[in-house]
Amino acid sequence: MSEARKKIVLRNGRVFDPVQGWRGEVRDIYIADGRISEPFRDPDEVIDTGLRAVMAGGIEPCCHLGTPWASLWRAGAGFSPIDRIGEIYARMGYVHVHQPLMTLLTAGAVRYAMSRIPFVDTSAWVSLDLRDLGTTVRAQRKAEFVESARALLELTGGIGVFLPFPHLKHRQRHYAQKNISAKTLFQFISSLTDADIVPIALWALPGVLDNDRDSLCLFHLSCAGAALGSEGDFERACALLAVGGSVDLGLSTGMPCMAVTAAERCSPGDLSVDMGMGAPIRFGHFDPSFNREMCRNGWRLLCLWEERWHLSLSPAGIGGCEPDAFPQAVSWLLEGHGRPAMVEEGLGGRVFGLYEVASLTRAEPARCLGLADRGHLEIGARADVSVYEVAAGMQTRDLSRAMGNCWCLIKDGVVVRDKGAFTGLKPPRRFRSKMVETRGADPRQSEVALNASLRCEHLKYAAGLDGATEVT
Amino acid sequence: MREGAEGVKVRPDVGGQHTGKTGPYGLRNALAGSQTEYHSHVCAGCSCLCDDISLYLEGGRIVRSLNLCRIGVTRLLTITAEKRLPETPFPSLRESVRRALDIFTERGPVVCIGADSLDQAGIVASAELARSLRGVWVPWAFEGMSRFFEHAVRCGWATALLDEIRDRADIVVFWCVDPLVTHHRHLSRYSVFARGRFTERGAADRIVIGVGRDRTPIEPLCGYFFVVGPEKEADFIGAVAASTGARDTLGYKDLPMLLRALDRATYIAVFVDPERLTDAGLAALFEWSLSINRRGEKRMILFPLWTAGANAVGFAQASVDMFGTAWGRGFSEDLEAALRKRTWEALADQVGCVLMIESGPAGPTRRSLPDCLEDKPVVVLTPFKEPPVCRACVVIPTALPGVETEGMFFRADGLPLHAGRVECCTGKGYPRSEDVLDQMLLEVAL
Repeated sequence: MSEARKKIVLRNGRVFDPVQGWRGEVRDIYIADGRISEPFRDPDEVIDTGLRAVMAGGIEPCCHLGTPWASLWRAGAGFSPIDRIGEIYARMGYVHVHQPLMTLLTAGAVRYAMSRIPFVDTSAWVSLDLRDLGTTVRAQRKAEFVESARALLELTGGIGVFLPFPHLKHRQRHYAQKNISAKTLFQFISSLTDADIVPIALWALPGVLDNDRDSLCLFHLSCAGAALGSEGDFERACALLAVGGSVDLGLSTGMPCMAVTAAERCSPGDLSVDMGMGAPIRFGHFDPSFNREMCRNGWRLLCLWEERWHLSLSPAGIGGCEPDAFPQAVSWLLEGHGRPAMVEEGLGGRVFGLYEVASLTRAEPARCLGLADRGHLEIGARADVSVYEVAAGMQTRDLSRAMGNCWCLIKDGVVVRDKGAFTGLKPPRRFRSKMVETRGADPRQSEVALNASLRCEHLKYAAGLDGATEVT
Repeated sequence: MREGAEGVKVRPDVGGQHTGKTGPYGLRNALAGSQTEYHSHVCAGCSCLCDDISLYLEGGRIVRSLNLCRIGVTRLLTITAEKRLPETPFPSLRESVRRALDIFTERGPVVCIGADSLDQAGIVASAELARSLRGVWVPWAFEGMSRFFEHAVRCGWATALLDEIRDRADIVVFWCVDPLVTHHRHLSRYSVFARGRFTERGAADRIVIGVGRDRTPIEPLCGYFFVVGPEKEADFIGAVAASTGARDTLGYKDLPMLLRALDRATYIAVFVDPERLTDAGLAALFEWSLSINRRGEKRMILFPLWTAGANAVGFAQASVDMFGTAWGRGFSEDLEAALRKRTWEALADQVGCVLMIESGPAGPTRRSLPDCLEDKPVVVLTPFKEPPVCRACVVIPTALPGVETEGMFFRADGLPLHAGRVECCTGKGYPRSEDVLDQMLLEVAL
């Protein structure tokens, strides 16, 4: 019998699942055929969790691991290589990693890079190029815009669509008539109702929160940590979340880290790549000492967190690249003592429980990515379960160790970690895509594909080269 | 029209592009009902990785091609050439592998050179073999690649997808590189003649500048061409970067015009072969690029064009993923120390034998072993027709990747493309390179 089809029972777990309102009640979790199952009597394997904390597998909503040339920069700057990153995620109990940036042209490169991350499933948003779609926006041709977005989804295998910037601004003066203001774009997008396309994700670059709050509610704001540079930004973010806005956020631990942003200006040591995003994608260093308020505001936002907020936490941190420090950040959420001053100032004494952590790192990320079968433990969901050796009264150092080394991880029904060590079993890995109907139109004839230097059959990444692709 | 040994007729087209209904789909429809079979092909002849190659097959033979440049034609003709080395088994593959391994064992450590000519699977297999033999694993462009990426990490690096260069570059500089020699269709697909979003008139919207050690074939296409010797290189770049009056001392009368053009430009794309630049010149180029990009008013990107294996970028990707450096790895302390010196001579002092993977058929992409390695025993893996360009102890003919076998290659800007095999070119008895390398790996393990 294949490992993924085994019947497994996880006994005596304190289960935290915000989707079902489980707040640590002792339960058994049944797994069969790689899914959470109804109780059965003939398990192939029984894992006694011994009252450890049980959650669904973690979901990373925003990590720039697949961006072309990112691995070169990572290696040059001395950061963990991509295969080690996969191991770090598995240790933390994560089962899915999402890349926000992918274009029609870079889809192949992104999918190739993501296929090299061990243990986890992957997905990506495909970015809309307003240089191609600007005409449809200006002329208010909604159907055409939606068809083009569908074509992009089908060609690249994206799980959703992404806007790097809420406007289009050409550098050349003689193209000024083709510019699109944020107001025009928001107005246009607010009239879209197609469930395959909306909500569109928007990169929360500095200044994005200055836009109209009601318009921002139409989007999911991705990587919002870098947009909280001022008191005004912080207040606008709070107001946005209070009225139902959706945001994912990376936290700063106060240590310098790698950061991905979009900027025309470069600094020494930066890698910047023109990928057709409107501005070069820049890989550079983020120094918290120069951005203290920005770092603190992320924690302040958590201080005000309410259960109804659509807020996800990204382990990749404020720069969107490094998950290494996330267990430490979670330990500071879970324990009030031993927090650095910046964190304590931000959280203001608030202590989180595992239920809240499960919401921020499981339920909400799954919702914002549209992964209906992940992020919870309802019957029929994917059998992604992580178990942590966390107990009341633990110090932050022990909590950090426990959250960074889960006691048990089951992904798609395969026991990847057991008793705090890797079992050697490799779970199935997939690139998750969204099923879209192009309503009879050939995506290869779409306007979005006409400008590419590659033929359409080569834009569509060859299935099988990056492992299985699964349509959601 | 040229004809291969078995009647393969391949017409080279330099610079042609399909547009509209007269393109391959229209022609394919016109051919419906005839015996001609249409095959869309990705050419792995150079890092342009042209994906618009159309091959027409009749009776299992290629009768016509569209868009294939001379490098691609030469590569394709390799598979039917009279002078192609006989396929294994003769001597048997296993025997050749054993002889090769005997050499590696007796004369090691081995330097594995040129995996950048292989597809991604072959590159990974060669790295694993070099690791198991505790040798060293480098691409053909090892010296240039190590210098380029070290500068990139130190100074920072601005680069772009080729599509962005096509769309935006109003100044294109070829610095010690001539695509007319090494990357024929680069000019029509990406750099000089290609029409883009903001360069709608193609060449008319761009100024092309050439810089070389000597006159090269691209000179007539250049608005300005400068012959710059290695001793003047850094000064020349410094003068251009600073827009200073150093023009008088350097003695180039076109320099003021170049400075004016650069001043007006919004997007400058510099294609460079780092192997042909001095270290100081390369450093000066990176500094110049940084000084422009720091201001954010205009953009200058540096784009390496390697005169080496077509999959040099794939090699860099695999090397970074596996070992954290883009230019290969030494699998012992001495070899790694020699690698850090970034010269073939330093490597030659530490290695005893060579595993060489040939970079291309006769022509500009075919590389010879560096002089300092010529006295070492050499094992050659080659899919090409003529005897290898060095005196080899063991020669193992292999199938041609991207024609006789399918595989993944990376375009010069880092985009992966799947090069399928051509149906009529099944490789007969030639083994895939990665199979040979895997076989060696297996024997080493045993």
